[in-house]
Amino acid sequence: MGMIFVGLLIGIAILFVLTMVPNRLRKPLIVLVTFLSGCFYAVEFFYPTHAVVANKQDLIKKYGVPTQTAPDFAAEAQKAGKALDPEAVKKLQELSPEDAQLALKAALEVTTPEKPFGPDAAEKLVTQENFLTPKFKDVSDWALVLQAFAIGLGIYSLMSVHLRNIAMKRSGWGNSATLITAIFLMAFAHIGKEYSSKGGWLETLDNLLYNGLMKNLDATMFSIIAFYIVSAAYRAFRVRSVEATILLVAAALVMLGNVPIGQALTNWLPNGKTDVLGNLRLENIGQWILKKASNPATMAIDFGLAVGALATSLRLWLSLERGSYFEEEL
Amino acid sequence: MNILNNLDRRMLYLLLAIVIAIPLLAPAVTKPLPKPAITGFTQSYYDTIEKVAADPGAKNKIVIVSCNFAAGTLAENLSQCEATVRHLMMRKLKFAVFGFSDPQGRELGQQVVDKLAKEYDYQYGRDYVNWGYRPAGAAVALLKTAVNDLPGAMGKDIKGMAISQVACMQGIKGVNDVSLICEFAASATLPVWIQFYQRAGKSPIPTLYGPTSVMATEAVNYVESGQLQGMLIGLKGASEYELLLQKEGFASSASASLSLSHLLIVVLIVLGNIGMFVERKQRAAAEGGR
Amino acid sequence: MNHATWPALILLLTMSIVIVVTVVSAQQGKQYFIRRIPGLSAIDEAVGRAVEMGRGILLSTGLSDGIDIITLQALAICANVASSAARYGTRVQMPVYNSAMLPIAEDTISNAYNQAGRGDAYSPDDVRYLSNQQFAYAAGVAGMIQREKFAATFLFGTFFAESLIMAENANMVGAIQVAGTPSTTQVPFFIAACDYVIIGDEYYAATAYLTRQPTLMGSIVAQDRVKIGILAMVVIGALCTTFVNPNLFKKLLADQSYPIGELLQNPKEEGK
Repeated sequence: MGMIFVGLLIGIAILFVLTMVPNRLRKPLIVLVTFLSGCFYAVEFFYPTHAVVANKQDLIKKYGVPTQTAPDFAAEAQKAGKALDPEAVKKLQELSPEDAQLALKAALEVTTPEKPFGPDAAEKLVTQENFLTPKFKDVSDWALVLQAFAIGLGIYSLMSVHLRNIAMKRSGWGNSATLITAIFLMAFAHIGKEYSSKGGWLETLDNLLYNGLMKNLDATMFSIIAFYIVSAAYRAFRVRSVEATILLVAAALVMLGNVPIGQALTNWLPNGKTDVLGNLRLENIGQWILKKASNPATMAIDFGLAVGALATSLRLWLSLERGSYFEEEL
Repeated sequence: MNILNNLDRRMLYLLLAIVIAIPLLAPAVTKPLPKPAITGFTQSYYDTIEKVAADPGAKNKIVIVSCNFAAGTLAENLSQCEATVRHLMMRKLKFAVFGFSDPQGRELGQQVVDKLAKEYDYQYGRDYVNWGYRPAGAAVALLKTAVNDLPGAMGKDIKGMAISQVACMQGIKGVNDVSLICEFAASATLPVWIQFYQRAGKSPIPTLYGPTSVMATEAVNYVESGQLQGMLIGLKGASEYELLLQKEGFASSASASLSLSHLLIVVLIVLGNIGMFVERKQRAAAEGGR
Repeated sequence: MNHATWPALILLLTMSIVIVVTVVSAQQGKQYFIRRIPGLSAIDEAVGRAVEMGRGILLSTGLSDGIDIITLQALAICANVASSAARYGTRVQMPVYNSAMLPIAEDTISNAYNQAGRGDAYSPDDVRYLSNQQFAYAAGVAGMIQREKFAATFLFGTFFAESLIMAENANMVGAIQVAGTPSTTQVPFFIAACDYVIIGDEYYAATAYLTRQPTLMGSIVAQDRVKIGILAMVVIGALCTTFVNPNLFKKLLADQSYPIGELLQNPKEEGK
């Protein structure tokens, strides 16, 4: 708890310092920070990897901190009275001296007369990473923390809009009041539950609000889509042009092929692997449309999107972008 | 006839509600309806679990049941998840419930296990574990860390116990100790597994997918490319799977609703087109007569 | 793939160089052309209609887990819409899904108003956070549509199942709708319910098309060049594996030497 408070103070202090940066330095600062942050992920992905021992921290806990000298595999194995496969040893020798010591200890522990230590077992002890990989989780945690700051902004925005509605008694201000009550009640019940005794009234309240109300409201909103699909399909699937007709026919075939009633229309056709007529069964036509017509189109679109995402990422990372929100004087 | 063109949408909604509700309220009505045909996607899903179970090494490994859905898509994803967990229990495979898309996922997954645990004598800790929920923003980092150090990356389970201390997690170190990934999703979470976990180990991990039926089209290319070993397409896939397992559940009874609602849509599309043709003809006649 | 293999490194590096070089050449004055995109031309029509009807415009940047490329792109498109709406004195409202996006969205929209010379017309209530729960957001947007009876709606960004809830509600109030999304699974719903839909990489072309900025034009041309390269690789690869040697490229682009399919055929091998 103390650490969280200190962290919060430091965070606020950094934000305060950032607001004091003079205007002309703001853009270069943003460019620099963007580039450096992007660099981490790029370098981590592209930098060549080397072999290290897996679960190093666990092994250190178990066997103690290793020394800097490379272990003598044959001698240690003999001392323990266990045989190690030469191929496996070769794999472990690729490790740094420290890692090799830990790997050797782990290897000797798992080796039994029935279960000799082979190359497969060695591979389990060794993993590939570069100097940035162990930092990956920390950096992602920072990103998460930074984003978590934003939730405050969200709540502030909600509050300011809806409190103003209530204060000015705009139409529908009752809804705003409900929303604000719901926010506080939900937060109170959910956080309170964590600190109260099991089976207490706070847990009941949380259960009522979360399982009883929110989950069901969620499910209701989703099920509304079914109704909207019907009205949208009714309106959209009309034989207006050749393209619309193709769309309509394909949709009808896939729909019928998807459900037992539709499938029953053609289930008198033989469905063996060598039966040509089996291809005319509705479910097979539906699958064919899905796999051979819709799938390649999706894939082609995905290619385009991936390249588009790469280009946009590069523009942002290298601050080449001078779009609507980067051009402004900061 | 013009009524067909200006049909009140509330009428359509009412019709749909009736068509969906009847088979659920009166299951007897649906008895004469045909059973669904098993598609290749579902069959290969089933076969994959069978093959994993047949592998002697799988006993020392864990299956990840990734519940990335919320109550919204419960009808589709929960049925898929239930059928899959049932199959895993039938074959005595150890598994871990996990989710990073929505906090509700871990609870819904647990709900499924609780329902079936008694029937197959599954105990928390001994046979399965619930890793809980991790925020989506950290999912990539989490999985990248879990490649080498799974218990370390996951930290604690939902009961607050260190994952490395849980009985069924003994010997589970990293990606090489995962025998199968089953992902049930309501949003685009599959690529995270495919990009960062499936092929990170010594040998690629078989991966199964249970998307909502809308999302299935996007995943077909993964099945075709061999990156996915099987897929259950929405509620329909779940009902086929229940048929394969010979344990009919919600999906099987809802399958009739699905059938009838699809049929209703097809009928409405036909009616809408008739309406359009009639109107066109009337307009042509009116213009011709002028 | 947790770390780049050599082929991946070379491929990504080549693509990146092509993109950066083309963008820089465009910034230095090289002229590029892009074709007309009907969905994007419709933006002015939709704004015009809102002005005629004297009703507002809804902008949504969809769902995002954080600040991502797709949402930033959506925001850039929305900024253009907001700027032309502001010019004619029409109010735009933008409900935001992710609180991290909120300050960026506020800045972008108020800048768009300033650009149009109508900074005074911007109200902080117009860009507001709704919820980061998918269906709560959808319900909130649907409510706004029904209350405000928008004349036009612009749905750009990542969408999932809520796409149809928003689009159908806008359809009910008779709004003219333009949607664009890279989520291929939602395109059919938008096509059924919206007037104009921008699909595939037209989405990324949108800002270039609307603003004609050299950087963005260069980027679009660069993307096409990269795609031609990928297409050539696909064709050459298919021909070589078909006629020369089926295993020619097997090891090149896969980070594992064998596909999972083979593993499943001999499951015992794995348990050795």
